[in-house]
Amino acid sequence: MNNEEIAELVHELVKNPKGLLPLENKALEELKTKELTLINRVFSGCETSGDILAIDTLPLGFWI
Amino acid sequence: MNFHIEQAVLAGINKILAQEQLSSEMKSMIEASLNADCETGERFKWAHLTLMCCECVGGEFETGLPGAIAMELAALAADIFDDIQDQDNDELPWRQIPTENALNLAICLSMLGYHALVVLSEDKDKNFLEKIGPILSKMWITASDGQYQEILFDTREQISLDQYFELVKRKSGSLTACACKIGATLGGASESLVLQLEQFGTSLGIMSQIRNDLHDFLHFEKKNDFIKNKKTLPYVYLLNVLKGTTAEKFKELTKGLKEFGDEEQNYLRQLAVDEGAIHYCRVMYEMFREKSWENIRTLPVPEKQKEKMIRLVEPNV
Repeated sequence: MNNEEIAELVHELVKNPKGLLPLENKALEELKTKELTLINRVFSGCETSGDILAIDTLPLGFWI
Repeated sequence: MNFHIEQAVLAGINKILAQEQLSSEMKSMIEASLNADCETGERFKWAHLTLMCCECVGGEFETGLPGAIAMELAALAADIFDDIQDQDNDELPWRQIPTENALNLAICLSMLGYHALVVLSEDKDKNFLEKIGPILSKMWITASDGQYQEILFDTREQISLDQYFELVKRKSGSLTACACKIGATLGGASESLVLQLEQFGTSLGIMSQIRNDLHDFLHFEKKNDFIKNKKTLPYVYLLNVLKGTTAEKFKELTKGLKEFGDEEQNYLRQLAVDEGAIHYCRVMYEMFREKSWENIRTLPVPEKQKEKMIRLVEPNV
């Protein structure tokens, strides 16, 4: 998947509350498993934290 | 940062400054600029990254130190150039002096970076400048080209995500890649190991930029990136995915025709949430983190040596 395709997928997922439905329609086997896992991880992380704006949870403001 | 490392970096810098017989005003400004990150605990972070890479490939601290100092001075110069370009970070020492002198300061620091290679390593390795000089030069060439492109992008209506990532790779990735390459080279790593760490550095720089972009995009009270049409990742994402009236409304905001008050700021913040700009930034951040983690994980060096590097980018879960 290229950057644009990932963007489209993320956009679809955000718009679709059922989450994984668009992925099923997109011929899952074409997606790299790693990318899919990462996208799912980010989406479930955002759901769990409940605060999507809490971006400071992204590490690495400083590399120590 | 480790106190011992900080003291060693400081001693090296003082040695260079003493030898150059700089004016007291320039010397004070350099010292103030080097201390600017003290409060955030990020002092000498570039030297630290260089030394971590050196240690990772089994190099000695003393061997990596001149390169680490050169990198610290070069990165500070790059920061100053960037803030002048962006008219940003007004609280920093170099933004509180006339721009003409901030430019002189940055030029002086960039040259001191090269000089560090000569002054601090003259008795150890006469080829030092020959080995590390080209790495620094390459970084300057790539980063300044990236900065140049960034200004051009700010005036364009449409930028693709691929263009964004290529720009960030040049503008930000080149600095972190340079630090890692210097560290690995001085640590005596093989060509393939140096390349692997350079790639790690590039990803690290991109991650850092994504994080800054997202932060700055959402903090309108501190940054005016959006009004200045800066092509941050959330901005470029929205440019590319929005359709219909939402896209039109977004473009209208980017043209700066309307006042950018509380109402517009809240609208934009909500748009970033509802349309997935934040999710996308997080996803891309994770992708580069995963890439850099894989880079370090597969480095053919003893586990103990790469512990610190792994900690930088290992998954949170």
